[in-house]
Amino acid sequence: MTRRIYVVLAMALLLSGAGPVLAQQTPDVDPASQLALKIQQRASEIAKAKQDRLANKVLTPEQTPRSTINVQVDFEPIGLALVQSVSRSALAVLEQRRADKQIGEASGSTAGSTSLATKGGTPAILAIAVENGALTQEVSGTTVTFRGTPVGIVQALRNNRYFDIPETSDAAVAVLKKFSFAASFDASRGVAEGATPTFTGDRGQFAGASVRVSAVDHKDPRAAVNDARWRTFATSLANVDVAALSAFNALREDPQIVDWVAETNRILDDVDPDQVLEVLMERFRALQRVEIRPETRAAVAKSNQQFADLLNRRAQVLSDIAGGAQVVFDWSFQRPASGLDSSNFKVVGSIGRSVILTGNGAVTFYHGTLPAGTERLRDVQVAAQLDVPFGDAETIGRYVLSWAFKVQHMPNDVVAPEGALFPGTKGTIWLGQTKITIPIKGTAAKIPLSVTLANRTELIAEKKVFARANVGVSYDLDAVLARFKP
Amino acid sequence: MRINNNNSLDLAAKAGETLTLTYVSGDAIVTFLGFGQQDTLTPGSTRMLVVPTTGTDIPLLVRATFKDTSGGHASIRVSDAAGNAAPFTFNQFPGVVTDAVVFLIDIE
Repeated sequence: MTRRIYVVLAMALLLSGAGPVLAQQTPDVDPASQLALKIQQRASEIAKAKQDRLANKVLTPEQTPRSTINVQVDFEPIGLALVQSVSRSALAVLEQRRADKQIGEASGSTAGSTSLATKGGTPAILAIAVENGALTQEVSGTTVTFRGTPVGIVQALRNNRYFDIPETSDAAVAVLKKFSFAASFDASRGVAEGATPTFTGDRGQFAGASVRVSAVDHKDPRAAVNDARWRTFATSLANVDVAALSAFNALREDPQIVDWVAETNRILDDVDPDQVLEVLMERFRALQRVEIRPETRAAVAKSNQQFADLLNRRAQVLSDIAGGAQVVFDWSFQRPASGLDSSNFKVVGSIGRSVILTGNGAVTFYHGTLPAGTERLRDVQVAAQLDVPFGDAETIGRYVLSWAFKVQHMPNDVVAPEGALFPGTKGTIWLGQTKITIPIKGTAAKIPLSVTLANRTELIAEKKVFARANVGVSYDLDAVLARFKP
Repeated sequence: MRINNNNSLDLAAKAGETLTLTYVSGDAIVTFLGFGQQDTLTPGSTRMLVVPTTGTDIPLLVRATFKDTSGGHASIRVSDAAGNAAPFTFNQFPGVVTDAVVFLIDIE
């Protein structure tokens, strides 16, 4: 009981602190955040070119323009940095990121036993979730779940850079990317009673596996169904490009900018690859003191305004796309701690924009030899979940508050491993859940915390209310790979 | 056409020569402006660009705007009839929305 109170109190505290950030800009519509990312990108590219030179590798014609600061590549970040407020904000973001470095950055998905309803998302490469608790079982356990996409893992093992993950323009890859798999291990199995659960990954701890195929994903911005939206958006880029080219022409003819570029590259020539970001931050800070021509400033101001408009228009397109439908089919093989192995066939559908509604329908069938008179159908399940994301990814992080409801009907008594039946276990389980998924700022980890109420468990049909608190941690390796192998 | 300084964005071409801008592959929205033209390219599509008879360092702006938060890319190429090509690839840095570069084509 005490643990449940702590969970509820923690949720209340987190919610009370998170409220005021709801109205803040997200990074993809904030020019300062975009400038910070561009400086980081350019630092990464220049450092990579330096490393290649140190290794006596010859730069390719594509790599050469990215190996130095120059107006042909950098006119947009230079233009943004000439605005004092944008520059200060961007450099503050970069300072914060430097303080967080080597930890990772938050994004990704969770899966497993802290959720009543199954979500449709999958990581591009691999995610790991460790969760503790119990939902329909009467014994709490610790489950470690690995979920990944074979195409992404194969590419990662080939030592490709994160950005080299194959594109959807390749038809075969596009089909393969629809498939993902998961394997779960119960770390509480095979250890002495009362001992700390320890993940060994051996066969005895294997609790299940699943294969998932994404049948419909209209939430994917790259899906063909969204092409018309992007075509309309593309027509709105004409003014952006006209203003950008004017700014480019002004910047390349402005002697102060020419000097700033030359001085920046002279300094970059003398530093180690790991000092490039620091130098770039200092040089972009120094742009504030550069006395550019009035006509340059006017051209840059116009271009920056168009740039900001582009960010807002794109965000609007993505907001429309986020309301699209998603349908996923999932087959799971389950090896429970007690009872027969089984297969669960599930369809997952979701729809929604700022609030996401997910629905599941599933049936479970027993494997192996059944006692006489027992049906192979183990149970029928229906679940629904409402997710409300809130918070800001750049400040406190992106939280998700969820409410879920699930009904599991078992038409017959549950079959025990020895072929006997657990008498009196047939019937219907009703479950309700409140969950908060907490991102750990500056890392790729998230902590799902949930409280679940049920009218019974699978093996105890006693008429009383069961309450469970569940806690877990999930880790998305996509973000880590993006960090270390850009 | 030829590539100067081992730099794909630094080109030289003969006056009156026809160059081809190609969106080779990718999933980003690619737009361009230059040589009296402005348009959107789709993967696999091309546009003919005629080098003017006068001028220096003619600019050709090419922009890739990404549809998602990460993983976007666009490979483009400026080439001539003889098969010489200047490739350039936009690889999305996570979170970056748009990336634009300017090719400069000098007249020989």
